[in-house]
Amino acid sequence: MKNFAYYTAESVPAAARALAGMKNAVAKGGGTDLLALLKDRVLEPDEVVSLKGAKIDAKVAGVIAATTTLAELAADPWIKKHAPAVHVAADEAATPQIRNVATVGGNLCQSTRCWYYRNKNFACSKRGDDACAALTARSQHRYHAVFPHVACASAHASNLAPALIAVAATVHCVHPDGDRALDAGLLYQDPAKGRVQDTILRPGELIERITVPDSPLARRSTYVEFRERESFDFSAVSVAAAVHIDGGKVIDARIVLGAVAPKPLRATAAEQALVGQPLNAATIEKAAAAAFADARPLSDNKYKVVIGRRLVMRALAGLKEMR
Amino acid sequence: MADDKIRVSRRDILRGAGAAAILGTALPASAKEAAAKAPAGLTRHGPGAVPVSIGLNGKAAKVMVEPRVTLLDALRDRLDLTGAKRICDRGACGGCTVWVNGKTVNSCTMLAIDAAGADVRTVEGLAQNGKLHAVQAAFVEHDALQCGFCTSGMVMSCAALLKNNPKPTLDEIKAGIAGNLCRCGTYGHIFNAVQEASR
Repeated sequence: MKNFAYYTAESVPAAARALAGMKNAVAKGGGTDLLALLKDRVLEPDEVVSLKGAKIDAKVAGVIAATTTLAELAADPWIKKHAPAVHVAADEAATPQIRNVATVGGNLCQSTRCWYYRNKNFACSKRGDDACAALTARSQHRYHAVFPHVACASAHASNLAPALIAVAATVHCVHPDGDRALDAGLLYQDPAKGRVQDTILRPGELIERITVPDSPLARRSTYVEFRERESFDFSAVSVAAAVHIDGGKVIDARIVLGAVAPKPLRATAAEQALVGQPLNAATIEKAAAAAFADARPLSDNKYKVVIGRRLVMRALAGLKEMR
Repeated sequence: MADDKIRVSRRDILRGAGAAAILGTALPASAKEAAAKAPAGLTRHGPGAVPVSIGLNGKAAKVMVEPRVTLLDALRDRLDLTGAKRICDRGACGGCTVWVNGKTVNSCTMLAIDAAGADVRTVEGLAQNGKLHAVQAAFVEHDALQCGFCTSGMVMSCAALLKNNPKPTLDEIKAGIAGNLCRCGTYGHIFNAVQEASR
């Protein structure tokens, strides 16, 4: 990898101010995704700003510092009780070694696993090329998007993102021009030519904290994923779901699909199919069909649609049993 | 001794070449770096070689590395500890597993500078007072290796698992070493060895 100047930051605002003034810099959490991108020279920054030692005040239950490791998040008893989807997503992520280092903020901002994005010998619209190699006739795309964007067929890799979106978590961002708090579902945007990041974060904007609400929706949440290997593997499809049931009827629902589009995808049609209805076998099946009604799979990833529907049904059936 | 002079290993040559390369670039760079001012609230390191101090298998160690050097490369190429293996170099195989402050990490996927001040333990530091760790002894007893390339990382993951969970179930053992691959397929013997070591 290209060499770089390395900075440690005492706080997230200090890091954000510094990053806003640097021309070719990247922020680093645990670095488990970043180091691979540096080794493959997908990114060649002059400066790396590490947030590892940055002090973040996050002592209140439900407030997660962006520098929290996935292992720490998975061991958080409040999260386990109040947002089971988030607990399971953190606990199932990657491997013990990676969970001990990888951070929540880094997980949310990680890059796609698309092998064309990660190999500069191939065209990639994210890297500024006109074409997307994954959308060409002879591409290898079985792990790619089944809801591809016109310019990019990458699949979003985070399993924590769908879970945090499903429980309606809030992401607190810091920027020298002003801080903002976003619904986790609004953190991501559609791909565009020449933009490697999937989030809406501006240059110099950093995630400092995530707040998980103490709500009936978050408490009745779950996360399920399918991966080819039972041990370490990225998910081929994941589903995070949450429902608030009152008086025998669903009054609020969030269903979020992972690894099927360039960003985590809220299945709003599936959510609408449930609201006002009881959660039963018929409504669950209707919601699962609605979740993938608009899928346009590529020739080699049709299996994701079949499995994805089943995962939605499995997630909702789990929520039906949950108290 | 004349004998010692001719016993120069490939590793010594690589290490010598690396040191020369650092000396060649670090001196002018460090002068420039001293002049460059870090933004408020930040501390700048490098891009030239910087000193990194770690606790290494119970002893203090210091190494000069550029910020881009991984902990694995620092251990293997500068600190003469070749137990941790460089296999995938992407945090996918677990061959480079070491403990940092008692927790398993992929040393290929951590910068050496990020281990500054930490207590690092490698497979070389697992045996105590000349006595193998229970996991190491059980690996020998149960023939829990074939080619041996994954073994040092596997042993570090298994020992960490037992440190946190002295009586793991078979499923807990599988989850505990999910980050370590064995391409010879010795998993069955490894599970037996961990169960033996937990007794």
